[in-house]
This record gives sequence, structure tokens and C-alpha cells, in this order.
Amino acid sequence: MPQGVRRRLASGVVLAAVAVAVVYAVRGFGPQSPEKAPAFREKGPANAPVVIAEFSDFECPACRAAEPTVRQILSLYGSRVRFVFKQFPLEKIHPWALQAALDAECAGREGKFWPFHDLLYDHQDDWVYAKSPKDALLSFARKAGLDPAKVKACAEEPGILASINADIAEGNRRWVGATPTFFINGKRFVGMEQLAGLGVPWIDRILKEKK
Amino acid sequence: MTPPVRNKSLPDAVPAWMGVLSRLAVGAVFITAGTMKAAAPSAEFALIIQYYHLPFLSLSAIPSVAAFLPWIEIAVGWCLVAGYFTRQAAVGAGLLLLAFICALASVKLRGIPLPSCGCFGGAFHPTIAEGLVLDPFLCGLSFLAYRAGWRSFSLDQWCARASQGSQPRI
Repeated sequence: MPQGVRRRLASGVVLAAVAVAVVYAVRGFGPQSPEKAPAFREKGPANAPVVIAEFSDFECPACRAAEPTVRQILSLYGSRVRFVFKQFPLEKIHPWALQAALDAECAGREGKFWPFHDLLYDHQDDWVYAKSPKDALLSFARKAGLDPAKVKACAEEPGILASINADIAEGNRRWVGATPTFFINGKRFVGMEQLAGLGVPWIDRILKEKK
Repeated sequence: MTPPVRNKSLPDAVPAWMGVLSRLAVGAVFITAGTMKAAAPSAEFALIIQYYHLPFLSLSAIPSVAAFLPWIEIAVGWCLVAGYFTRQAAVGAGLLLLAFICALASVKLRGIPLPSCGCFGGAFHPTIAEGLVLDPFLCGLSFLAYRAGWRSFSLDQWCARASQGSQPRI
């Protein structure tokens, strides 16, 4: 083989190796963790064949838009799905998202996470654009059957913030860049369109394979 | 494989150093853009493509495009930086940039409100307007890289030298 061709082949192999190594170095080799969250943020049986984890932000309009699809999926697949909610407040663009997440954690401690969660998405504009979103959140806490004073005190506890920060750190490790991001048995779907258009067929495929 | 032979009757309008700098600049941009998108999960890039609402791309085709396009950018970028198949890589870069310009312009014309062009994944967030300035500029640099990028500090030159050296002398 002529030396010029040998050099060309060798250069190509080295370049390809460098390019792939750089991508993997940037990507990192994080271990895949099981979908875990406090029990109050989970729905469905622990041994369900399909596990959906949602990284979400209460103030995010796209998360609200995805909510009907999520509810339809949960009602359609019933006990075959376990749903795990992960807190991922995007504070830079949603100034009240963290407060909502803190209050929701406190609601969870009182066994009212899901009613409060549903109220926050169903009436997102009402509290986001209220004069005092913080007070509006507490009024929704009351509507969910919680004691607002108790929620207010609880939201200031450092353990509550730590729980949310753990979810944010997990999201960052898993390259969550937008909300809502769904992981269905580990496969990622970003936004409502991907969930409805690609996520639902993916669920069907999992269930078909596990039959 | 040898680099194209220069026609000595034509004056060199583009100095070699300019070709090399252009090649390095376009290559670096392509490597950064491609690597940041390939390193991130492809669903993130798929979401960005979705926001463009390109009529010829179905939702089911988008994940494949999102998975492969960054690797094409990476390949073109590294080829330009190393001066490997420089002219082909410069043509590839030019064609990709023209496609990006068309996509950005169509978003602008249709008034789709995108906060960022998504060109660099999660690394930088240039707006559509900034993308429309950057891409034609890079397109011009690709042309300079095509004209003169392979002449100095390139693997093409290194390989060509070996080919010439291995030819039997008469």
C-alpha cells in the first residue's frame, strides 16, 4: 500500500477516535439510577412494568400543557404504570417555581401532594400572575385541605429544599435541559408532543414485550 | 489520494494563511456545535428541531435526524481542523450552513417565537437573528477554506508529500 494512502487511513482512524473520545468525555459516564422519589410523589404499583418519571416545574406552561396527556396515560394504562414526579424548578425563568415546589413538598408530607399538584397546574395563571404569588400558593394549599400556616413554616425547613436540590442535581446529571422531560423506562421524551407522539407507542412496545 | 493540483496560470487570490485560519474557525465552530449536541441526549436536540416546524420532517423522523446530524457536524469539523479531505469538508460545511440558513430564515419569516436557535445545544444560546448573521459569515469562511485551506498545516499536505515521496524517481 502506498505510504500516502497508509497515512490517510491512519489519520482518518485517529481523527475518528479523537472525535468520539471528545464527545464521550463531554457526556460523562454517569450510572443510570432507578427512578426514586419520596413515596408521596409516586403513583401506581412498585412492580409496574412501565415507569414514567417526569422532571417538571409548576410554573412552566409546557408542563401544564402536558398535564392532560399525562393524566390520560395514567388513566389509560392504570396499574401497568408507575408515575414518579421529580422537582425541576427552572428558577432563572420561573421566579415562583421553587416556592411552588417547596409548598408541594410540604403538601406531600401532609399526604396532599397530588391534590395540590393538580390545583397548581389547573390554575397556573391564577397564582403565577397573582399580586402575591406566594400568598396565592398558600390559598391553593388551603383549597387542597392544608393548613397554610403549617405549609409556610414547613417550606422554610432546610430538609425540604435539600430534597428539591437532590432532584435538580439528578436532572442536571441526566442532562435535563427543558421541562417537562419524561423518562419512560429510561428512554427520554422531551415535551408534550414527544410524550404523546413517541412516548405512548414506546409504552405499548414495552407492554407488548413484557406480556 | 492527492489534493487538487493548483492551476499555476491562475493567480492565488486567497493566501494560504487565510485559508488555514478560515478552516480552523469553521472547524472549531462545527466541533463545538456538534459535540455539545451529540454529548447531550438526542431527545433534547429533537425538541429543538420540532420547534422549527419543518414541513418535510415528520415527528417520527426527527429523532433520527437529531441523533445523526451532530455527528455529521463533528466529522466535518474535525476534517476541517485537521485539514483532512479539506475541500470536501469545506463543501460539506457550506452545504450544511446553507441548510441551516434556510431553516433559520423560514422560522424568522413564519414568525415562530424561538428564544434560541439551538445551534449549540445547551452550551450557548444565540438567537435566530444571531444565527442568521453567523451562518452566512461561516459560509464565506468555508469558501476560503475550500480555496486555500489545504495548502498549509494540513493532513492533506502531509499525505500528499508521502505520495510524492513514494513515487519512483526516473
